[in-house]
Amino acid sequence: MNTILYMFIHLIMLVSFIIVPRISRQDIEFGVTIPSSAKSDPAVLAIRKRFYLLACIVGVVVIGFQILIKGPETTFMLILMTSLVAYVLVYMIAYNQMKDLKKKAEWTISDQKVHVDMMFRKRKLTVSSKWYLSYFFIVLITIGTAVYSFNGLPENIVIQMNAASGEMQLMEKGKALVFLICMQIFVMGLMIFVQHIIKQAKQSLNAENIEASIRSNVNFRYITSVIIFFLGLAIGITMYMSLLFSMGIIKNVSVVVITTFVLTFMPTFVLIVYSVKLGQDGSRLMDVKSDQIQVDDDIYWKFGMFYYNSNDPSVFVGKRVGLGWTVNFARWQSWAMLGILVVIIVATFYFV
Amino acid sequence: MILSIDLNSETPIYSQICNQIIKAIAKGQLKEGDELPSVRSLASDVGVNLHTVNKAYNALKADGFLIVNRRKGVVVNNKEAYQSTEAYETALHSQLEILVIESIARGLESSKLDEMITRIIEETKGGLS
Repeated sequence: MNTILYMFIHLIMLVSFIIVPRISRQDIEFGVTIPSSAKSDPAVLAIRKRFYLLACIVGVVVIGFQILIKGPETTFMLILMTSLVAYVLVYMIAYNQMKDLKKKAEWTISDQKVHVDMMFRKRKLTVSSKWYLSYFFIVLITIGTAVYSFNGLPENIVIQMNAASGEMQLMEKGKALVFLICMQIFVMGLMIFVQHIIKQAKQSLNAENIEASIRSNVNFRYITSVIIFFLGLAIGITMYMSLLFSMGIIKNVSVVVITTFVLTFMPTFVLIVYSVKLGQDGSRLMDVKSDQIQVDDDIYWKFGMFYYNSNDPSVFVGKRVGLGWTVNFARWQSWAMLGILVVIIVATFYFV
Repeated sequence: MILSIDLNSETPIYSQICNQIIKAIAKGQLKEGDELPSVRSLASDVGVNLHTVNKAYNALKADGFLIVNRRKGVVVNNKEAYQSTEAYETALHSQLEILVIESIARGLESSKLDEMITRIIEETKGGLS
C-alpha cells in the first residue's frame, strides 16, 4: 500500500515537472524571454527534447530506487528530496542552454512598451465575495457541532491518521477541537488570501494582441479563482468530517480517507487539466507569433525563477516557470509572508 | 482604455500617464464617474514607483480632470470642472506661441500647420462615434 502511494507521489512529481515547458507563456522558454515565433525554432526544440529526456531518466531512476529500497517513510522522504534536487539541476541545464542560445540568436527587441488595461481590476477576475459566506457557514457548523457534542466525547480524540498504516494520533479533546477549528479557519483564510492575490497580481499583457491578452488573462484568473474556492470548500468539509469521525458519527475510516482524497484531489486535478489547456496566464488561448522579443526583463529574474526588481512596487507577479503567481523578492512583504509561513510550519510541528 | 507606457522614452513616465488619460477623456473613452485604478495598483501594473503615479494623479486632480470620491477612489470629474477658462486659454496661447514661432522660423507653411491641427482634432473627435 505504502509503496503504491510513494510511486504515485513520484509520478506526480515527474509529470508536474515535464509539463513545465508546455504550460509556460508563449514568449518564455525555461525562464528566458524569447520571441513567440521562436518557440518552434529547431534549436529551442532541441533544448526542450534534452530536458524531457533528462527528466524522464531522473524519474525512472527515482521510481526504480523506490522499488529496490522499499524503506520506511524517512527513506521515501530522502528519495523525494534527492529527486527534487535532480529535477532542479535538469531545469538549470535547460535554463543555461536557453541563455546561451539567446546570446547567439541575436533576436531583436520591440519598443519595450508596457501596456496596462485601466479597467482590469473592474473585470470579473475572481468569484464574488458572497461565495465566502459558505466558508463562514462551514466553520459555524463545525463550532456548533463541537460545542453541542463536547460532553459526550471521549477524553482523547483522533487528530491525525496515517492513511496507509491506519495509525492514529490522539490528543486531549478540548485542545484537539480548538486545534481542528483553528486549522479550518486558517485554511479558509488562506484561500481567501489567495483570491486576493489572484485579483491584485500584476497584469502582464502581451503587446502583440492586447485585446486577446486581456481576455485570456481574465479567463485564466477567473477559472483559477473558482477552482481555488472549491478547494477551500473541500478542505473545510474534510475537516468537518474528521470531527464527525472523532465523535464516532462516521465509524468507517475508509469513508473519511476516500472523501478526503476525492474532495481535495478533484479540484487539484481540474486545476492541472485546465492549466495545461490554458497555459500560464491563459497564454495558450492566444495565437501570437512575433519575431521580436516584447519586453526583455530577464535581468530581474534570477535563474529565470526568482523575481527581484526593486523598481517594481508589485508584490505578486505571474510566474515564469510553472503555474500561478510568485513574489517580488525586492519587497519586504514577500519576506514577511515567508517568515509567517515558517512560523506556522514550526508552530504546527511543535503543537502536534 | 489601454495605457501604453514607454519606459525608455525621453518623455517622463508621469507625463505619459497624464497625456494618455487626458486623451482618453477627450476621446470619450473615459467618462464622468469612471473609476481609475488605485495608485498602488497602477504603479504595480506599470512597474514604476508609487510616486510616479501619484504625481500624475495629483497633476490631473489639480487640473480638474480627476477627483477623489470617498467611496470609489479616483474618478473622472464632471465636465464643468475642467472646462476651458480664460486662464487656461492664456496658458495655451503662450505654449502654442512657442511652437508656432519655431515653425515660422523653420519656414513651415501656415497651411501645413492648419492641416496638422485639423487632423489632430478629427482624430480625437473621431473616437467619439
